[in-house]
Amino acid sequence: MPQYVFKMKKGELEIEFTSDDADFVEQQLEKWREEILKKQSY
Amino acid sequence: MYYNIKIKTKDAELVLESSNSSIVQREMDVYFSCLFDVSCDFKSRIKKVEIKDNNLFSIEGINNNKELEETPKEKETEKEVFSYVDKITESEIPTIEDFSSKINLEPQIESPIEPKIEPINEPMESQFELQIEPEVESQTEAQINALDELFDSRVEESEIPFISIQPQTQEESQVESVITELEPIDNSNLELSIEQEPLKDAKEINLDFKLFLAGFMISDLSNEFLACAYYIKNILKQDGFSMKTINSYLFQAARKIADMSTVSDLVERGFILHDESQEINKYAITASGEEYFKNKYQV
Repeated sequence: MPQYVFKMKKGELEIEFTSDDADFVEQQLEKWREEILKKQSY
Repeated sequence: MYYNIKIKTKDAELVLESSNSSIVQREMDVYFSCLFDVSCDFKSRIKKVEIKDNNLFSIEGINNNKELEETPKEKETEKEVFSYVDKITESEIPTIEDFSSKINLEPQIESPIEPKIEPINEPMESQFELQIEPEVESQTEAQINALDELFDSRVEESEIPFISIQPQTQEESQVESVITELEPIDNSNLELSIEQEPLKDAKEINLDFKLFLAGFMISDLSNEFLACAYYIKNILKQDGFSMKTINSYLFQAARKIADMSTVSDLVERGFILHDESQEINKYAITASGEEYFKNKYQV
């Protein structure tokens, strides 16, 4: 089963999320993408 | 399902694993907010992570001042926000180096092969030197040179080399036919008649010697050589001659050439003079030779 790796990095902080749950990973990505867009709009 | 969260800071690292998506969801929300909210006490949040159920536990916890080992695949610039990779194993994460190997380089254009033009082998020059006396006929140059080569070899054999060559020109064949039809020339008047005639070219001279020689009916080369020496001195009025000169006459007249053995014999007999002080015309008939020739052939 494939693994999905999602990594976010900001300065010295790095968060890496790994999962084989494709749906879960997709949800997290969507959520984080919306949050980023909100921050940019502010 | 498998869920793994890895958090790295400058001096800390935390790895969380769980099979419960809801728990992981909650943790991810916290960490994500910390990522964008500077007021969030991220480190304090990490310290509070505990084993809440069997599916979430802190693997390594907070490691203060731990040097994070960055693998080549984890080296990313700060501009990178998302990295979503669909992979089977972590070891197969493609890197920049992997992509660079797939770049097709421009084919090297080989230099056009220049056709090699081999020089055409020029016909070999005659192996013989080309030193022709002015009075020698030009048509016989190659023949004379061939004969000269034989002369230079200094054949010491007793046998006299004899070369028989068919007439190459129609003119020569005509001359030969004329000679055969001629009656024996009155040698007593020949010398006088030739002296009265004006200077002739080489062709005519050769023809004259041919006629001169034909009048004596000489068959051996030694006497033919002596006859030619006599002709050169008394008819052509030349004090000396070279081997090339005399051989040119002999070849034209009798299709023969004389080698050093013939000359040496005549020199020993005192009929021919060999003057080494001369560079070219080293030979000349002696008075004894002239006397011998006159007496023998009733000149």
